[in-house]
Amino acid sequence: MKQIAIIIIAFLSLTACKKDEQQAVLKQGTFLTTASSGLTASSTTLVLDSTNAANKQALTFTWPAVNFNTQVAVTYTLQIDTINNNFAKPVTVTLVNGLSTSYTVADFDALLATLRLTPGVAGQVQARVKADVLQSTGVTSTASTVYSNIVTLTVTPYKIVIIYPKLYVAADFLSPTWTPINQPGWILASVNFDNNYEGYINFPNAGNNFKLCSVPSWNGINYGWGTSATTMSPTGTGNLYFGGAAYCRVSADVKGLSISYTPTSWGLSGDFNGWSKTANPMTFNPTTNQWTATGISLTAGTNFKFLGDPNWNSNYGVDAKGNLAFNGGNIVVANTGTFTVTLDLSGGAGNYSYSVK
Amino acid sequence: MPSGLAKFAAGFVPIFATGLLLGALFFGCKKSGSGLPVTQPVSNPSFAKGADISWLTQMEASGYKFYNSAGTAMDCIQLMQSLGINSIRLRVWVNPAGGWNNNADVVAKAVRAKKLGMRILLDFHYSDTWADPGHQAKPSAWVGYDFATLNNTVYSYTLSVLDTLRTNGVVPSWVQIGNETNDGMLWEDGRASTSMANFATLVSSGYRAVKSINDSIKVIVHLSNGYDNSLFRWMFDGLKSNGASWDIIGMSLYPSAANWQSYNSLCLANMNDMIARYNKQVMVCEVGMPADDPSTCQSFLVDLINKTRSVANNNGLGVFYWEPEAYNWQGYGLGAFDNTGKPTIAMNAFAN
Repeated sequence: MKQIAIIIIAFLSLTACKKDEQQAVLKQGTFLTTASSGLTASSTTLVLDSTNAANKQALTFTWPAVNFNTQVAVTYTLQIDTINNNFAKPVTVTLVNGLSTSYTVADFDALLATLRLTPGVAGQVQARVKADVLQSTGVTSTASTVYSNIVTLTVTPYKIVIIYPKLYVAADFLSPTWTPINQPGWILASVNFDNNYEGYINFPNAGNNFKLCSVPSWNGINYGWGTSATTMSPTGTGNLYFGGAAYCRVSADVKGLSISYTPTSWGLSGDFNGWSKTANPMTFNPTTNQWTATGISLTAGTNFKFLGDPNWNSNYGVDAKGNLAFNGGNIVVANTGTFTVTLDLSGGAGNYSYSVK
Repeated sequence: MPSGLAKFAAGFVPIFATGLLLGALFFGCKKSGSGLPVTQPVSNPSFAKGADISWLTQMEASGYKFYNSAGTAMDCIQLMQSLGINSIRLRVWVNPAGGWNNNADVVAKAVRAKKLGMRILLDFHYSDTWADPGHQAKPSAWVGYDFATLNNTVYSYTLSVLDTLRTNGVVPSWVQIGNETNDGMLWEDGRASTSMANFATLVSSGYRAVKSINDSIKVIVHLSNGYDNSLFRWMFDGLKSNGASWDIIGMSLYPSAANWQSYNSLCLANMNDMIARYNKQVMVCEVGMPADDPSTCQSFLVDLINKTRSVANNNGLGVFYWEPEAYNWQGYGLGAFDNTGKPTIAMNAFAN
């Protein structure tokens, strides 16, 4: 097995070998792979845990050398990207020495976070190694870049659960009535730890009375009617009121003592239905507090979003991290098939989620 | 002599000569013929030579530029790196009016620092504005919380900020739970002289949040007046007996031209006492002296850095200058840049 030289030694050997130049021919390299010795990962299924993460090994990647038919320094770059991304924007590690690299649990979890994998959910990434001969003179190598086989890993990053400050709904339209409870469908949350809270409430009746409580009991501050439908009071006895059956995004400012309601009704809109605003409404289940659409045929690589009204005033896509985002970018379908699509807006802002299963 | 020996000697001479040359260079370096103070050669490459540059983005937005000694404009963080700075400190405010030092601003600065290979010290004030020994105001949105909610919020908020940094590719090396918390933080609930138990609870919540993200991040409890050993004993005896968790004891030091020698000596004694008494490492998280007397500042810094390096077993982790890049800015006179936006000779203390 040829040793892989480091760049300094390679430079010396290149200069030392000048008189042999006409004999050293750089050929198209190939990984010295056999059926059993390509790029391998010490583990292809990982569920990461934050305990002692900085000191525990997650996995080691090992690959065989590349034969470029002459003694030159080979630069190996390990690339890792999410599955279906085709290494468009991989995380990379470059080595000019050695045929393996290892990650601690902490470092690998951080790498997965930058690839926008969802914590607590099994996701798939792919790894491959590319080998290049980089001329010390800076002239482009005559040998093409060589890629190894691709290894697919199923990985679950640790779940970081952030509990935002909340307001709890106590209402005549929830059961048990007039009891603030910390449960989905009854919550507004402050994602910036400031005075602004947001969540979705299902108002089922022609007239809906409620209060917003700072703790899930009556012992905190209980915001009720202020002086109008869009103002609140922390001390008044009157109830907050919404007239009409609607699923509303509710925003409350506990400092400015204002409240606003935006009715929404959710559906899917995307390439699969020609971006129709009406073809695929979702159904709300007041027991699970989720919106679902079943039997949706989707093709991998196409786009869709969640539409809350026909004017696109309320819609959810995703942010750069892959999390549900208001007015976010298109959601890219991961796999082709027929699916149940679920939108869950019941956990308060910062805790909205969706699934395609 | 035998041919083999001749060959050996022939091979040996160049090695010997090289050795002499290197030796001459090494010993040559130690001479300070001009009398200027010289920081000792680096024996601990992980020693943190730091700068708190939290004002940077606000200064840049106001059109300020930064120049190296040759007068060439440079990115400030790159300029710091060229001066020998290897670590960046950033303050974090919860909901500041104006937005500076909020999450988004901190992430932007942290990403820039990380891209240059700097280590990062994140400094949570747990306030919407300046937290210091005389001011520890709760963020306005947290004022109505009962203590249990406040405690959970410290945990969740700390976790949230660190998780946002993590998904932006940044994991700090150190995190301060509170800034200059001589009498605790998040007053009045967390005022240590009223309830050391409450302050210990809040510190521990911050600690747990940090370790949940990555247990290699070290947690600092930071007080001002690093020369004041009795203050530090009071605080850390109290935190220890109330079961608080932390890794590093942080100090500020802002002396005058008249007292920097004694402050530095007292600070060193305090550092050694903290290590002996609590088995924790120490760091000087904030220093500053008048920008218009750079020679004195340089002497102060060289001496303090040497003293911190002298702490046994590399337990003196580093020294951070506070806002050295602040020049002609908000009346702050303790930076280390001159009025033309160039570093003063005080920054030479970080060169080695």
